[in-house]
Amino acid sequence: MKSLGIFFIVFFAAMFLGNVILLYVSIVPLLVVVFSLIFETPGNVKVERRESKLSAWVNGVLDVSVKVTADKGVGLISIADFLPEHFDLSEGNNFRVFWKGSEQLSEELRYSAKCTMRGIYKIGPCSCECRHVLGFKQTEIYVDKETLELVVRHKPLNIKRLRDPKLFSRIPLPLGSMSKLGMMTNDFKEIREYVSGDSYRHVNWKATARSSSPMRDVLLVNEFEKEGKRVVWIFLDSSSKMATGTKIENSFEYALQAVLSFSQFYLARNCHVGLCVYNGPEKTLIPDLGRRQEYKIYRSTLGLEVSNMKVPLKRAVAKCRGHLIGGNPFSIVISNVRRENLRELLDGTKELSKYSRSIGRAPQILILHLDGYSIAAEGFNEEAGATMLNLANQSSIRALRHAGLYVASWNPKRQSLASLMVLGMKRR
Amino acid sequence: MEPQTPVASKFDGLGNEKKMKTELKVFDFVKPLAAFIVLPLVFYVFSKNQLFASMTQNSNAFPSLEVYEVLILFFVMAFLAVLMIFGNERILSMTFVLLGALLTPSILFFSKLDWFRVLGIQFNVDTVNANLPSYMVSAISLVLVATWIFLLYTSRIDTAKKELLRRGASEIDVEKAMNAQSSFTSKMLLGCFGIAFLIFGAASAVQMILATQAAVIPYAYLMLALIVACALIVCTVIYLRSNAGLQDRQSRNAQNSTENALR
Repeated sequence: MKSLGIFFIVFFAAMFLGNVILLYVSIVPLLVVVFSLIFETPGNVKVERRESKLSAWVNGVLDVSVKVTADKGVGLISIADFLPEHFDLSEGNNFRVFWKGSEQLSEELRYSAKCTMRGIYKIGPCSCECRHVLGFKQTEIYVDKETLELVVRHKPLNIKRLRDPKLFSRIPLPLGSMSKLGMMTNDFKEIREYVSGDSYRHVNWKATARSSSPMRDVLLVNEFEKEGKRVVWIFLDSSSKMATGTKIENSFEYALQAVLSFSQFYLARNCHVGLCVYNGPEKTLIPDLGRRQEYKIYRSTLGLEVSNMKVPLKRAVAKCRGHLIGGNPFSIVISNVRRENLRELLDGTKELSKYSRSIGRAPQILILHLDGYSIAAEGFNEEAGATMLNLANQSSIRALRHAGLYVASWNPKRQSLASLMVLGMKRR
Repeated sequence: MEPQTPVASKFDGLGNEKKMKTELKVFDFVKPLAAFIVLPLVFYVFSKNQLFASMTQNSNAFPSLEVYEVLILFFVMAFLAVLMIFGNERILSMTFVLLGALLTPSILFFSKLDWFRVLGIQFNVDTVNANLPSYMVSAISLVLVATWIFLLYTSRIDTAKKELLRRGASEIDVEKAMNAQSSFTSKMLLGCFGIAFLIFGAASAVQMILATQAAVIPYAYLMLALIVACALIVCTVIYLRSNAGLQDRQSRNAQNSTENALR
């Protein structure tokens, strides 16, 4: 609008003084104003996302691409794709600026972001800011409605079973006790081909009719899950003490990773897996099997946070009593063993041992102690400090071991969960 | 929506490493170039003016007139050049107002209405004699205004560039977009300047045709001014109203779409 101001001043001065030179001079700003008004602010902006739903691992890199088109006006178009907290740009940029000339604009906003924290996020919406070439018209902002849903989850650590008859595990992993026989339940497992001895009641006639052909004529039967499989309960401590470390890398995040790894491991071996979160808002998943349970567990871990609530392990076990009785479950307690929660752990595990048979003297309970101080430590001095603090906890770990429990101390920075489990192996 | 402010990276928006670093940034030289063209022209017109001549003749402050002329001109020009090159939008405007003030005596010399005589003030017009033909003063005035507007927009582009970089846009993206915008703006201004020059050239021919008719009308300039001013006011009002209507429609549409989304 400054050009308009210059024009008016010069023009009226020309008129007032009857000055032809000023009149000529006033033509330039007038023409600038006229030409500026001919050109419109860029518009008709269309934003198109390639994907609508994505999933990524924690610390994984995610590629996002957005196509932008605009066919009206002349000016600058800046486009920004909203990135939630906990995301790090690793390549490209989520904010780009384009020049929209007289021809159609067709550009791409492409970037890679590192997901540092688990959760369900929304990427976007894309916001476009369209500026007039000379700023004569109001800047227009378009906000796209479309967002990209992103599920970021921990990558389960691959725990492998060592198949060596000479090895035996001191950790009470209930793999050998897995049963293929037993009472059939109502839980549908799969459709398979008929084998001699199968009951005719289980023939799936519809599926048989669908699959039958002159070349192939076999009966298909419904297979149901069998009862008598081992039950694994995972008890997760979500107290605020589990938050030792940074917001992104702390004991609790590793504990969740361990939950996912254990559940994946046991579910893959046809065990019923249940989850109970204590010292936090009540969250219990009753034991079940299959991929659906695996999905349920990972979905429920996405929203979990540490809490200041006091729900001791004993009370959590008491709440799950109905599902524990008669199941002879194997229990995994994931916590940070300290002097302050030693009593709580002893009471809780004592309560747990009531529901499962002991092997020798040892109850079927594994305590995974997360070495929080080592996770938080950075540099030589801090690591030395963490070692000193861990020494102070050793008496508590010893007390638990004395009670017959198997305590595995895990420092995620030094060892993987798989190698930790190998430590429990011994030659016969 | 405020986008997350990413760190301006060494990659362009597509992840390619910077390649334009060695490219010649033409628009970095625009301001010095403008100063180099405009300042000598304005000072030439001012130095030719009778006012400047009378100032130098009456002054006894400097022992040598030639040294005084050269030194004063050199320092003032250098100072104004620095202001033009490094100043922001406001300083730039002030500099051009100052340059305009240097041109004013020469422009005023060609005024047809002598308000001093109308108001009964004794003033000898020859004290501001331009000592240059009117077409030269007009051409230099046109160059001055065109440069002013051009530098004004260049300065705005600079501000926009800094803002975008602060918000996290990649340097290559911004440089590319700004170069395109500057190129577009300069072409447009060059066009405006060319048209103005054409009008200026054609005016003398039109003047000859209309001179006989205009001579009949008393206060022809005032009549013309009145007509043009009325036309301008009407055009401005129409433009503002149409723009306000458009904005109303846009806000109404946005409101409707929000309501629909809520439903």
